[in-house]
Amino acid sequence: MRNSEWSLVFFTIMVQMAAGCFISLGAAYNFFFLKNENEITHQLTSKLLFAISSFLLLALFISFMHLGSPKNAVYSLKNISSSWLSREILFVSLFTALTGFLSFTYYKGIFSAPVINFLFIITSLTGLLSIFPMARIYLIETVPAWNNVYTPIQFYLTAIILGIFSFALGLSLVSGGMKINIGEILEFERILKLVLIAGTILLAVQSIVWLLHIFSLSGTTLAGKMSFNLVFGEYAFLFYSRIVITLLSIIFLIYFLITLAKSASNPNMILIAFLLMLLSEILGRLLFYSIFARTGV
Amino acid sequence: MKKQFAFHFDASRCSGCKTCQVACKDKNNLEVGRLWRRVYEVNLGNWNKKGNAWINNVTAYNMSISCNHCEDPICVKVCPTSAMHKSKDGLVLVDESKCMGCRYCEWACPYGAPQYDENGGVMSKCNFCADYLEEDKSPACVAACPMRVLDFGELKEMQKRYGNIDGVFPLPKGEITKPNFVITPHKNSVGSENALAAVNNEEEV
Repeated sequence: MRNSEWSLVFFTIMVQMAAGCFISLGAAYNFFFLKNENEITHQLTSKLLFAISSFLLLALFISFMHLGSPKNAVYSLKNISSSWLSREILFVSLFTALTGFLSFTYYKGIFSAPVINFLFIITSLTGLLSIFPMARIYLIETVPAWNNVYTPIQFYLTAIILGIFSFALGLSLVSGGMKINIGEILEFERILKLVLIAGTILLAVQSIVWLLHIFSLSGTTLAGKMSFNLVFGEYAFLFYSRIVITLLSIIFLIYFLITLAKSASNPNMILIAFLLMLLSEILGRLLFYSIFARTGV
Repeated sequence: MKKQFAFHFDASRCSGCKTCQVACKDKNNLEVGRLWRRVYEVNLGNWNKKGNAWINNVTAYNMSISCNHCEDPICVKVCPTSAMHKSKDGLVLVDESKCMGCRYCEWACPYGAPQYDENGGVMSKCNFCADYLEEDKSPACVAACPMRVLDFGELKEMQKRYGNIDGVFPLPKGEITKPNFVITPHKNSVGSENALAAVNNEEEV
């Protein structure tokens, strides 16, 4: 793996997480906040929107770090008719711009609730769509380790898993910072219960998809077999570390779920769950880039 | 008719001296590690039991490869900035003033043709010595080869003279990018996806 790919590991995970988190916030706004809009829900939404916008800007900045000549990025949309990288740049930039626009206008109170809701829907769709070209970039005919259906599935699963947990973490941190009891304005314990159940199931699904992906490589072309051998050779430590972290995550989530009544208000529990899952995603993405092997020379 | 330059490489006679590789580096002033033309040393074969005897069929050949200026260049397709483009002479060229150095073409090209220029932060590649072509001179690699195993010219002319084989190990099947390249294979060469063959000088290329 080249050094510059570290920035891609973080860029892809950050954008996927931001998309998942934004969609979770959009759903919360639509189903909870809109009905009970008050000063506290307004502040919560405003702060979370600001955090997601800043996070996306940071992700874009990180993506620039892997470029040899960032000044030439002005030409990056020129080949939009055939390059998925151009399309990804367009969609992620659009998603960032829309999130920033919504964050600013919401904070300033420029638009009415239905317009804000509409902007939430449009921006959520852009975020959801931006993950597709991001995954499509890796479906290169000459790279069998990436050129399969598992790549987009895993990118979307990353978005959902990290999205819902970063949203739960964001809610707990922002409400903690505002010194309010989140349980009083939202049925936070119920939301957290849903997040934990969904997280455990999704984590199990993702592990299966990931293992299917890896073992599917052994039966492909020479380059695919080379990638397969890299998983269990040079990069075996990444593979086994991720398995251990994923198992720990599942055990932790189940423990969290059982003790939810006692620990729901403890932000450290959500933080630990989030960090475990983030670590698992980083290990998975590092392995993804590390097993690059190309058909030909 | 549209012009299309193509290289021919005769693997049956190449000694693997790498003069082509060095001539290219010299002409284009490439630093250590950047190779617009590379010579791959291929080894294959094993010990096989025949009756009561074990007979080996170990063999080796070389493959000299630069950019094949493909008909359907994957590097041009994936390049976001259009810096990678196909010229009117059918040459695949990189416009360094537009390249943002994302290295996506480097991932995609199955011939390893786009090579990253660390100092300039942009991609670079074989340009078929376009300046020499304008002066009616041969590309540096072709001119330098002591075994005369490299040739160049119009694709149709090359195919008429040498046939149309374009995919033997370690190269991919030609159908992926339709390379404008003709190989005269070594007598022991094998197909693209042969698991028993291996490139033996990875550290050099």
